[in-house]
Amino acid sequence: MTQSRTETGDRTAQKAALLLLAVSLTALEFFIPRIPFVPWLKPGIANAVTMIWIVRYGMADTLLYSLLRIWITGFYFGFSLITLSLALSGALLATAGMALTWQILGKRRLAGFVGLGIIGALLHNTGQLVAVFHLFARNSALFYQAPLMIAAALVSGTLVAAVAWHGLRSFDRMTTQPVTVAYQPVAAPAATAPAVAASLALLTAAVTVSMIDRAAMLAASALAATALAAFVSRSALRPFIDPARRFWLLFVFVAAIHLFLSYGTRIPQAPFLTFEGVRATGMQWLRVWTWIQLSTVLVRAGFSGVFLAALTRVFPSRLDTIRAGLLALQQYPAVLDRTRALARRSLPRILRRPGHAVRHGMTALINDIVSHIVDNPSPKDPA
Amino acid sequence: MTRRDNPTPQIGAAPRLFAPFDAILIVFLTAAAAAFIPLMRDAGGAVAVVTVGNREAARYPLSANGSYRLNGAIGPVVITVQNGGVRVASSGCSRQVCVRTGAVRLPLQQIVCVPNRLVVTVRPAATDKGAYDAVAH
Repeated sequence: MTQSRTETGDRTAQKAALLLLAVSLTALEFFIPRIPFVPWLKPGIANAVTMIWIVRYGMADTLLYSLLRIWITGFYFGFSLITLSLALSGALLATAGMALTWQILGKRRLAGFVGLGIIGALLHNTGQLVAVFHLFARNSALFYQAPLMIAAALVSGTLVAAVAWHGLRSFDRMTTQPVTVAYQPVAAPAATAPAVAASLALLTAAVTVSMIDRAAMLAASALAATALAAFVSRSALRPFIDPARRFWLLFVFVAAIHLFLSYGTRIPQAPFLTFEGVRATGMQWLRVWTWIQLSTVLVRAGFSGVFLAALTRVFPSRLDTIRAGLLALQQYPAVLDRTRALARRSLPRILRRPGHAVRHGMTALINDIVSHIVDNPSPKDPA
Repeated sequence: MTRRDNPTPQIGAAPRLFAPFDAILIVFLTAAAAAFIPLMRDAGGAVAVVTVGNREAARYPLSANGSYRLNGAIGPVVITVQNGGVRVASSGCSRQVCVRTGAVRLPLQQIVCVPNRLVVTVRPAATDKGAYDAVAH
């Protein structure tokens, strides 16, 4: 039981506070209703934290931050290869685009936060759309919503820029007041050789499934993945509960895209169905099903530890950020409860004075998170 | 870009809220979004012109989905129109180049099947004004 002491002047604690802020914002955003038909368009307020990170810690560190944020958010929403690939493609593209803009133009004061925010929003949505295209619906009709996407990026990018602009002020204020924080360092989840081998094999299998184009082989792999998931979760029923409860909407989406928008020979009795559309729906359902089952096995195989070990290997000089990630992982359940309570408490005020919320919302959240880290010297382990 | 990232906080770098690049970006994106809308309209009014040998064999509007059978030089060819695109669904030719070309949708794109002496060309509907009235900008 070693208690390590650190200060908010210390970068680990600063970064942990920022990471917790980003996870909170992602979770809060989950409760904002989505636009029907284009559910992947969302304001992306968490991008505000990415902007602060780029400006204060540089490009490579922001890439690491994005990976850690996705990793931690995965614990909250439940890990799956599908959500992981959506989040990764969106966040990495947006982070790279914003960081490059800052590096090339922002530092010379040619680009401002508004530009960064718009680029981030646009690339985030583009990345997710490309992932949606490759994973669920290889149908170029999806790209016809580009004008809507651009309009949404202009609005949400500007909003995010305003939030980040005021957030940066309060972040800088926080880094100048030294507050002592005590926390118990968590041990990083271990990456054993079998876990690494299993993770690599499962990821390869997932990629292979996306390339198989024969119904019999897909059915066989879906069956094998289900059996494997049933074996590792020691239950014959669990592999069927998860897809039905968490992913039913995804299956509906896949069916809608392929059935309504497919090329091919019409089925004589049905009004709009084509043989090709029905076949494509079935094939894609099998793929999505297999991915969900493989995700269950990946979690059991210790993928989380493998992911963190890989990050440590790739970013050896940025252990403070990785340590901040572990601290954030340890603290995020409690912080989420607090921010949700704070948001509920101040909801009437946010609705009455939205401008005030944009100016001071981040400050309130950061202060709340910092005071939480200070108040809770030895939190419980999230696992 | 050549220099390594500085891992220490760069409090000195003062970002701006709004800068010239941002204005250019907003104007450019607004123009891009606006340019998309007539493009999508045109795709709806385009037609696929099919020629076998040197004469026009058929003409299908890309706005209406459907599957059509016609005779090429060496055998029957199935042409499918869907989602504003046209493709050769099946052909009796040996190398299947036309089938593998996939769907085309943009004006002046072509699918060619040499053995069947068949060419599918997408043409904009600019000449027949019946489909749409003038698009107001």
